[in-house]
Amino acid sequence: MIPRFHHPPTLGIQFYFRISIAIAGFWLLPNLTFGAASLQDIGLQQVVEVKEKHWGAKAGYQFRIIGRTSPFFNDEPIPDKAKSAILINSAYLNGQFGNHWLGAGMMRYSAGVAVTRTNHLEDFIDWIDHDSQTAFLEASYFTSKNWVSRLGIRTSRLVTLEDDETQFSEFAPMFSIAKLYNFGSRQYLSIRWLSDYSFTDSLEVAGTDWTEDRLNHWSTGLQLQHSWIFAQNWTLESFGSLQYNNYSKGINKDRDDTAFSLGTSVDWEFLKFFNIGLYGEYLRRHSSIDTYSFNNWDGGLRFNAAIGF
Amino acid sequence: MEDYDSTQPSDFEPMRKSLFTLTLSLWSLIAVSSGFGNSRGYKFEVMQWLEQDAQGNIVSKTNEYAGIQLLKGQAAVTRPALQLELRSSIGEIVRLGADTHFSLLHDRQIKLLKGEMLFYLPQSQAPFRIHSPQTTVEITQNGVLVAQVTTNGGLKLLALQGSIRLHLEGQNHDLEPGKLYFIPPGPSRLGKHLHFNLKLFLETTGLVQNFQPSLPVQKKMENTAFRQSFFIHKQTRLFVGDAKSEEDFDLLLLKP
Repeated sequence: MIPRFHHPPTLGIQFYFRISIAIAGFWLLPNLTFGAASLQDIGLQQVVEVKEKHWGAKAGYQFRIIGRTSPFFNDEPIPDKAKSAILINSAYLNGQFGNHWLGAGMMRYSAGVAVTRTNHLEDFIDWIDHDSQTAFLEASYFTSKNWVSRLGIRTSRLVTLEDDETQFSEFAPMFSIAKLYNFGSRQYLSIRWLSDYSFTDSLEVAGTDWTEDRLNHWSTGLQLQHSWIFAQNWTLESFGSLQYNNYSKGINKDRDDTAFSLGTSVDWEFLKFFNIGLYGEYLRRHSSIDTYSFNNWDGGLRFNAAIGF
Repeated sequence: MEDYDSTQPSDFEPMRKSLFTLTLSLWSLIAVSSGFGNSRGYKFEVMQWLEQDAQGNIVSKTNEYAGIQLLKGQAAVTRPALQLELRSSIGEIVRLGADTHFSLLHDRQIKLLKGEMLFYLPQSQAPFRIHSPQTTVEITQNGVLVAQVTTNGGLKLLALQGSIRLHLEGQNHDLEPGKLYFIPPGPSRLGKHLHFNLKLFLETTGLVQNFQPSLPVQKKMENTAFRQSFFIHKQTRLFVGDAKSEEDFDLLLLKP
């Protein structure tokens, strides 16, 4: 069997990142801020419903139809036959429990699973259709100054649909620190530094440097996300990230990658629990091994359904 | 120009600061000689004095006015652009909002005729009494709360921190930080009560935001708000207003 993926599958990780952001956003909602008080201000007394809850869950489904400029994640010219619309179906389930006071902050534990299926509509390229499955477990510590520290583990794998072969799997302990800024009641900015180490298992080619662990890597990076509810039921989200990966095994020994990404989306919540949106993302990876460098644009339409309790 | 007034509890005519000082001095002499307002007894002292200038900036005049005493039987009236922080001789801190009428009746006993006050009450065995024009509440234990006189003559109490116990007609009620309680006029009893967004309140109230140094329990207060934010299930567009009739109160709807 020929290995088809020469780098960790980014989609699963990005999806995991979005889940984390969704949790952060959920926590941010009650954190409104306003301008400085004047001498006349008794203070706003907003009525809220309070429910002391120590557990919760959220389940969701996402459908995307997108175009991708570099389906093979390299800078080689793409044959016309490989220019294909891509359908991506994802489902996730997250649970959280805790909300216990610890020192000066709040402790919360989360666990979740996400499955994503990626299908290319053109037959010529459907041999890279795949499923990715991700699970995570993490402990989050929130402080009153809007700092969030997370310690967790993530495991994921990628299975090609054509032959039901696991191309790649990983297990990654991870740590992150985030600072959240509120701008009024409708905007927030999250700045997050994260670091993890991925222990990986890929298809090997016997007698070569294509070892099972060749995708083991240490990763660190900075992520920014801005969210703005600019009109009722309309949200504009933007994100950017800069990430450094260092590989140390097999054919990738001494390989260094730097990835830069930017993205934006506009979502419309047309019904409770449902939204639809347009999004675009740019990803640039520079690798010390030239063949792994690439530019990629993704753009498309997405539909989300989510329910929490 | 009105500044700060001290006179008989029943008389709240505004006076100039110089006259106030003179009146206060004379009153203190009378009080000491009569044994009524013993300056070594329970009293309040000005700790912070904030004014708003013509440009709307908040200016501290603490250096000029710190140390002025308010003795038993005396009253303080703040004009619309003035806030004060007073500290009692046994550690309670009160902050007077703008346009507030307040008098010190006795040890740990005050009358709030108009406006709003913040109370920081450290641990004490003795109850603290707040009289409004139409009702009275008695508080024990410790914490921070804001009391506002409502149009119906009762009180609106906002619990901000700590474990505050309210004694009303022989019944005890533990106030929950992040909850707002109406005390209707008449015989003291608990009226309607509901949760309010504590973090938003702390960020928008001049009684917390304008004063430096902050309260000794400022950090605990912020942590209480932070804790509440985790358990807010739903935010509404409703904001609590005044209570004009005996049982009901105003809710203001914020349109999107």
